[in-house]
Amino acid sequence: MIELRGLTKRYGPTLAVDDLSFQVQPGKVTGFLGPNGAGKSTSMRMVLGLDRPTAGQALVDGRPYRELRAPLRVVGALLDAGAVHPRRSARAHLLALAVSNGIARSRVEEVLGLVGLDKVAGRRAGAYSLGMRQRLGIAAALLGDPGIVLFDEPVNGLDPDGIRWVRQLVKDLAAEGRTVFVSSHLMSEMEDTADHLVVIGRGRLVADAPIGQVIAGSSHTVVRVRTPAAAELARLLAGVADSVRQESDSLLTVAGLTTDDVGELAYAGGIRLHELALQSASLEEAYMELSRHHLDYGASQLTAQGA
Amino acid sequence: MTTTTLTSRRAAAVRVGWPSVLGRTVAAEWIKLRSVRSTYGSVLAALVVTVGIAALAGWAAVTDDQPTQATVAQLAGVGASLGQFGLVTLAALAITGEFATGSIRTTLAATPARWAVLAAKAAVVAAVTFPAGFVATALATLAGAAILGAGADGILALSARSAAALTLTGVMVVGLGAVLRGAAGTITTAVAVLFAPPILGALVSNETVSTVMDHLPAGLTTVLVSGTGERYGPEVAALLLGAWAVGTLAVGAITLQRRDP
Repeated sequence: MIELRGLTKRYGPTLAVDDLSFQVQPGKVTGFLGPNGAGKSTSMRMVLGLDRPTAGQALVDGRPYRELRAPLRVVGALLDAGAVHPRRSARAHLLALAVSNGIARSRVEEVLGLVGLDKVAGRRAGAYSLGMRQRLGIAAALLGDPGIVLFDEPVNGLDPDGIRWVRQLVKDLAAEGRTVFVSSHLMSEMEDTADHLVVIGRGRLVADAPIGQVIAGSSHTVVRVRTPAAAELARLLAGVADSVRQESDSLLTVAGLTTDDVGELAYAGGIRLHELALQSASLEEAYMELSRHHLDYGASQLTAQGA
Repeated sequence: MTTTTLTSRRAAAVRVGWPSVLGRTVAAEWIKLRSVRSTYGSVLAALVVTVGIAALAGWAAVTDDQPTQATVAQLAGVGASLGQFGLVTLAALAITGEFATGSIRTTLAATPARWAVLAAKAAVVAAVTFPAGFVATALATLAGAAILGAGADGILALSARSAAALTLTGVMVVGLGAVLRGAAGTITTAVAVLFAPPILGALVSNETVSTVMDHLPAGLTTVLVSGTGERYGPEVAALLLGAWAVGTLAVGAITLQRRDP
């Protein structure tokens, strides 16, 4: 488990990470979302003990990372694919990391095979494409068979095959009971991978909830109603729904009510319905809305722990 | 890959003593040092320059119309004083290369005990600079002796003193690199520290200034390599140079500990 407690990082006048508190639970994929510059990478670096928090703390399995003496066996991280010496071979890079944490040398060949770099492991890392360096970073993260995995923008530079591979890997790691924390600035990336979302904007927590709840909470998640008495139904729902839009003579879209609510109210009002359907927001829409609210009001709009 | 093995492995991974951490870090840094080509280039440059300059100076001495009183030890000393920059480069790159490539974050994530990382780097740099410095000085001595037609008496002691000076300088440069982080700045500063005092000392004949000069790394190196000094002998020079090396390394470790990589 990863736990952030009031984590704060200030660079001069800029508050890069602002009083961030949340937990990342094992056994599921937690997506870490936010636009570029929202503070995702800074937060991850603080979890890894690289950057010192201005205030608060980050714990891995209940301990500060800096206290760990063989950290690669507890936490595996892909930070940025550039964090490799370009003149060193991938094999030597991984070997040095393995030796530094008392990991068997044979594990190096295992992870090289796992990420598909075994054929090119003798080449210097500087000659690798971005996608290959990304795979090398993932190999390094998996080296110590850690219970916690942090991937910062893992699909950057990967081809479609590589992206599919990372998605499957991330799900498999979570299914094995590991804590999996994956950042991205692309919402679509998380839609079919993440179970839980932590969304930040300008260093602050915007949302911490299961992905289904984030989507359901969006105003873009609406109920679509087709009825011959559209105007009448619109009047009836106006007081209870967040918004009612009349799309045409016979079509309404209703936000803030479930299909059950709309059906019951229509029945009670004696209005005949021809169609009643839930139209889910995309994660993209839900996210955009969350960030907008966040920027407008500077307050957290949706926060639900666990589930 | 099941949860139970994960838990037991994690428990085992937590109980690691400091000697073990340091040993692993040294082993890792050794792999890193020998897996980049610049290491071999730097050592080769140190050897070629040390021997080449000694031979050139010897040749100049014997072909001069008014033959100078150059000794074999002096020739080797001149060679080593220039050849050491190959080893200074090696020491500087061992730490600054990590900052330049961003691999320092990978290194510190693997070994959060930053003092151990710096100590291990100093250890592996010393493990290369001592033998390299010894061989370079010995070869320079032999070349000088051949050119001057003199004997190579005391070649082992001379090579050992020179290697010790080069090693302590290398350790100091590792500390300097941890403070400055850039290769260019570190090497330039090292050149200034090693070359500026003798030049200034030759210009200024003030007692206080020359006392200070004699206690700076450049003056200490001169005494250590030559084996004689006015104020102190080579043993004291070695101790003082060691203090500079350890002190600079400590400042480097504190800087590394405090600043975000």
